[in-house]
Amino acid sequence: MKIYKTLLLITLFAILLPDAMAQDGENLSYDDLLNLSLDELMELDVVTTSKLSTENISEAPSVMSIITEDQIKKSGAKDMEEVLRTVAGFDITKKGMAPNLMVGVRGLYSTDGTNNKILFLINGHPYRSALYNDANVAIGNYPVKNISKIEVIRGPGSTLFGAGAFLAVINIITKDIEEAVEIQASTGSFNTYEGYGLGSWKGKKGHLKVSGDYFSTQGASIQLESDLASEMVAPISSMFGYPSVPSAVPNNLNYNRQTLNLGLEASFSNFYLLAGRMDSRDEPTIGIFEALTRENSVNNIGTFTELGYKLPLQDKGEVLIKSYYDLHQHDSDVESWAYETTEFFNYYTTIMHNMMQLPGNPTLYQSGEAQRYRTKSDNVNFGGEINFAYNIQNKFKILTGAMLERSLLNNISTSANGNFFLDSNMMIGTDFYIPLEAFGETKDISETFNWMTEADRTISAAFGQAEFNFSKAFDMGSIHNFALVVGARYDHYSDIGGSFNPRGALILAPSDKWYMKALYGEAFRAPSFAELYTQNHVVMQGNPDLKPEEVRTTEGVLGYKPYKGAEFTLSYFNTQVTDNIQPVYYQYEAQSFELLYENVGNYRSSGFELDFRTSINEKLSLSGSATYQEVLNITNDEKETVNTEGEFIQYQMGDFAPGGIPNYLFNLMANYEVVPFLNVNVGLNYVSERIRSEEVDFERDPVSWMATGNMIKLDERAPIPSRTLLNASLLFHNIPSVKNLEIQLSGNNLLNVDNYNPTTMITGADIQRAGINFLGTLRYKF
Amino acid sequence: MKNKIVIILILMAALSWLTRSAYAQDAKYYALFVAKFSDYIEWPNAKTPIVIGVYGNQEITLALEGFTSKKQNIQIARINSIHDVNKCQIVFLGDSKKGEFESIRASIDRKEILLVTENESFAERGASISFYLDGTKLRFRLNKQAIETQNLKVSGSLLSLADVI
Repeated sequence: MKIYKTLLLITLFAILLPDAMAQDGENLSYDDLLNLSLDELMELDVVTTSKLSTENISEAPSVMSIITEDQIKKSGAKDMEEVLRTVAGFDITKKGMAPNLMVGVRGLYSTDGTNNKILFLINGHPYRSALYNDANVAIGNYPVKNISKIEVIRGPGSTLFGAGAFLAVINIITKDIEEAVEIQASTGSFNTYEGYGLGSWKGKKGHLKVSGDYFSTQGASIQLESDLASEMVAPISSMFGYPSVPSAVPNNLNYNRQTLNLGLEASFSNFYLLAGRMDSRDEPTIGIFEALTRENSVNNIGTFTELGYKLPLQDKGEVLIKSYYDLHQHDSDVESWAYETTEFFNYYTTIMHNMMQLPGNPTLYQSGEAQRYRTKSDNVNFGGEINFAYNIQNKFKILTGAMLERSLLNNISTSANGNFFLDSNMMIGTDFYIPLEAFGETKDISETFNWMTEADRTISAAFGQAEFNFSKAFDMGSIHNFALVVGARYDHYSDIGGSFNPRGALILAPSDKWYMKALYGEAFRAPSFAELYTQNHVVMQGNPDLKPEEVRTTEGVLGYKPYKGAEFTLSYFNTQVTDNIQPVYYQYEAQSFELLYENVGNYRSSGFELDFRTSINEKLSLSGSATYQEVLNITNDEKETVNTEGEFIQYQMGDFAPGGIPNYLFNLMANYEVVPFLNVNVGLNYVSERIRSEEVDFERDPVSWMATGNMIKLDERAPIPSRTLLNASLLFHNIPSVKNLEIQLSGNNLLNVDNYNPTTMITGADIQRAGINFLGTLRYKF
Repeated sequence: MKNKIVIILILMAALSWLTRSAYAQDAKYYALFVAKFSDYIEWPNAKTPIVIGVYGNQEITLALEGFTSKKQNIQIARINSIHDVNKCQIVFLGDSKKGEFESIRASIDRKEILLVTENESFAERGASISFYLDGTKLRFRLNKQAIETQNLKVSGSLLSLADVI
């Protein structure tokens, strides 16, 4: 064991992944670059970051990864999940009940069903719905064929980006302008089809680029052996003498998805326009009650428009003024319970109706009719921002700005075909319905039981960041770089209050081969409208008293460039989240419970990330990452209750693992050009086992619901086993006589291993993910 | 499983230490410079297009191929062995093949071939041009005597931009 530790230490110093490099001219086309003179080329920063300034990434005050179009293409990745899971520290899962990917960063996750701790940008524009304060389905459904580069900043980014840049920032850079037309067509397993087109034109004073992508898949089968209907409703149904299990499990259902993405980019002189629209229709097979269901349709339409003006300041800086208008529309029409369960509801309501001696007969669900629940809302973000960047001979750089934004939530409606409450009657007009009773038709219940209130907020913010580069200002001998970066941002939310978030970085490069960074940053996340104002919901209840959750992160980075181009980095992180907003499960009696958003829980995540990317020879290159992470709930909550003797009892929780989080993540990708026209890419993605939550609670008497005095582990299940996905891709390109044509065949999970993601409430099963699957793609450029 | 991860990491480290070729994120810029050099050098007996051969850096080859449709006076040739260098007017030597520098230099001696190297020290050892990084900027050293030995003429404007040795 000692030798492993020694070797690991050596390894950690040896393999320091490249904080990826990007290029100043990255947004310039080949034409632009070729039109530059040699002396102009010599003024380009070969290595830069993208965000508002042109820094060498090894000097940037953050931990960053970059995924290029070439990597995405050669890997054969068909969607964002297959791309993002290669980022160090990223754990991508799907909960089943929500159409979103769940992006875990360094072992920390967003509120269930959202990615509200991740800021998702498209060409620097935040793609964010006001309802959930996240990119909703876009983070998983964005077409990878339209991507030139993905920049990922791990760690807090609120100082520059504001709320939501809590755990990570993901910036999608769309494809370059090449004055060409590109088309792609793909088909593969699960009846998957995709068509993509891109056209771009460039004139003397501006450019125009349009893109479109349509993706359709029947999706992988979700095999579920147990759900909340079989676990929660079945015991109740047997108490009532119901003869069968009121659940659709065990069953094997497909997860359908269709996505249409349109993009428009244009510039004229110093003006630019960004616009985009994404229509997504997801059919998750697990409903909002975590019951297996059949006919679901979650529609999300997101549109954004950003108009900006860039004013250069004598080559020393820039003023950027921009305004934007974003509209996000949600329409979720889903089964909350399958028809097997509503058949029991008919049985139950008939008994209850008779017991209560109510007049007439209860309304019953039709044969084969599931309980349905439909919610709709529109939300708008619009505002403006001004940024000022100035650079004095690279000795002193300043970036400052201010923004003002309005967020509106309106056009809210709710409809259902039955009383979805388990313990409350519904009065709709003059009609009275006992719990779980059918309406006999789909009713608009927005007047009385709307799921959300209309809401609005105004956000204002000011931020600034300054970099002092001592090694450029003073003669420091052989010191390659020594810089201090400090920044701060103040945000004010009209409904929540203010938040001040500083950050700082000390960067030292004793030579051009080694660099070190010490980073500190704070960030916040304002509660979303959904967390504040959800009401009358089948599951969740909002809490208007929520305050922002906060995160503090300290990071250390050691970078090594042993020879030109080869780069390795090792990052250490320690992140503490306080006032974490999460659904809190309150069970008042055996059959009475509520999930309420609360500011509860403090979490600490710490660990190491290691990346490398290098070439073995001109044909073979390797890249990879390894992550060790440990996450603890450090709330040390004190639990209280009354036992069966009527005595008040307490239990003090210690630190515990919240469960569902792997300790190790590992990626390795090998790329080999067999012959000039054939490229082979093989990737491994390993996720270690996911232990269950170590949280304990009072054991309760099943009838009286009083504590027995014993403590029990809330989740006794065995861990979800580790799994390794093997993926491979064959790319035929540079084919003589048809150089514009590319043909690709890629396979995912080629070993067909079991791949499970943890569920939230179901205790008898986990979410099964796709087995072996293939995709074929044709690309052609005119 | 923990041990397996450690072993894999060690293997990765070993590979990293053993390899010495470039990860050419910045290949596009190297390729641009190389393509631009053709505008500043005169080959007394060569016809256009100027043939550029890359030995030991696949990323730069691919980047150069991206330029060929836009820049008509160059053509890219892949060099699979040292004997292929004589069909080129510009030879770019990547770091993964730097061990063959002396052989290539001897092979092209006094021929009208511009030898450009990724390794910054080769200009002092007889290469025509060698790249180096100055902070975030790409720069190049130019060995004027070596270029003249190759019977090439270099423009004054290129000399003014280069670090001439």
